[in-house]
Amino acid sequence: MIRRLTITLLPFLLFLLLWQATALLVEQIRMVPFPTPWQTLERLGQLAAGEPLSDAPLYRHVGDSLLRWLTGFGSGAVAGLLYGLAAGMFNRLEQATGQIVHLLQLIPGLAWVPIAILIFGIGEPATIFMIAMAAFPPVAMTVLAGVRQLDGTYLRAARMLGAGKRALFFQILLPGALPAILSGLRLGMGNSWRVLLAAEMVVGTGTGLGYSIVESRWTLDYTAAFACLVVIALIGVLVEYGLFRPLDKRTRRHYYLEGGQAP
Amino acid sequence: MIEFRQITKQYGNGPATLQQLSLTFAEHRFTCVLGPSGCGKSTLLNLIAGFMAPSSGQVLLQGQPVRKPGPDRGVVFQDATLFPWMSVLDNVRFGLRQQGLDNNRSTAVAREYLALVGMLPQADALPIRLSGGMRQRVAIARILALRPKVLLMDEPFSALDANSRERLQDELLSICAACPTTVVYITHNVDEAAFLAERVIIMAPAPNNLHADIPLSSPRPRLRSSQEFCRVTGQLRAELDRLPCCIGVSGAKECLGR
Repeated sequence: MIRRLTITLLPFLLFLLLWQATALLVEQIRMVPFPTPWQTLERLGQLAAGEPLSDAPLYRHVGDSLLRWLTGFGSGAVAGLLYGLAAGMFNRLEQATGQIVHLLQLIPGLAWVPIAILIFGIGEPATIFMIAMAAFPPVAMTVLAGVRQLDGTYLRAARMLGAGKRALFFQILLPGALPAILSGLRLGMGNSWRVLLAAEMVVGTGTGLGYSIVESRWTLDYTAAFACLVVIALIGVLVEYGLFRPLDKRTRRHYYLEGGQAP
Repeated sequence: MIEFRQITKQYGNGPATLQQLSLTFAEHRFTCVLGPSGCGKSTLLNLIAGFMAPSSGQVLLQGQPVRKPGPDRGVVFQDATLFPWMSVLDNVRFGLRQQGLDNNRSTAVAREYLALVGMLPQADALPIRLSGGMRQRVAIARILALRPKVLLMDEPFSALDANSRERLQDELLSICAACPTTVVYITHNVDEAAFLAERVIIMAPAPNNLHADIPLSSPRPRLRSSQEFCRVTGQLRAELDRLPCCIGVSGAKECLGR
């Protein structure tokens, strides 16, 4: 038990040590203050207590960022899911459009800035568009591959057993592609989270964690920027360990791994 | 029962896998199809199942051309392809539900066939909990429950260990004795063909796909150690030996002619 705890905490402690060392070194060599872990924690406490940052309290920045993320990721993921399922079922659709999705995959999220601003102007819709564009390709491609993988095995077996179109879709295709759908969503979420922060930095959104980090440059409040980074990391850990790890474990146990063979 | 009329099948622009093949399978007969890899055994089975269409010619089932897969032609694949997200019982019920049986009725029928293959105790288990042999039993129950006219088996036991393979062969024969079915059984294994078949078709690569057609008249179940059994396997091996690629002999001789 204690051994396990040490192993879990060790990387974290190492990281803090490294951070502290960097802070001391930077202060010595460059003669500029560098927020230490403790200062960051203190500032985080003040912000959490309600002290405004860039004209808004911290929870408002967090809330706005999360809302933007969910809206953008949600629309991109739903589009990706629908596309992946449709292209998986209809060869023609994939032949006609598959390359476009591959191309979208190659465009880094921030490169959408000029396009987003031209289409939507500066503001909320532009950010959400960028986030959606970051979520779409990984979800679409993973789901498509997942459906394709079913083709030779489960779909063929189901057709032989007399399944109609409805049963094929709801009882075979959807549950069969579930592991792929989950891993696609996971990839899309990570992608869109990173783009969200970058987009908030570039497109002046007025609120949000990315916006606050960039704004703290003007007030020289780097400690607040560090506090925002900590919040971002915490959200990431929460989503990973609170949502994806358990979901992934559940589907794996339910499907093939753990004693069985992959299809 | 099943009739191949001048069947040619080629994939894309490649050479023909089957060329002008004409063949009939009689009702309620157990036919094994033997032959080297790549001679079109699986193609033959896929054509009957309706998974693919011939490039030319017709496949007829009771006089009607085969157009698409259907529950009247049950296929047991090399991998059991049970749906991993459904319990054993639900896997067997799936096909029955598609035929419009209600909840209670489909459960009753599914349990009956699970009992037939000795898998009733595992009815609520998920497929990943089962061994390869058990999965294959469920796959067979799932097909038999639909009372297919034709049972198509594509090397169904080849991924199993020797012991489970022989036990499943025994059980397959007793099931066939209980409910007569037309079986087309594809195998690499000479012993398996000699043990199961009433007729053995040995296939060869195109253009002459039909290499030999051998009726096996001795009554079943046969003894794997009998002199008659050894004579038959010897005869089958001799036929296979005349083909360019002879998996039937030892497996060590790789494709020499191709």
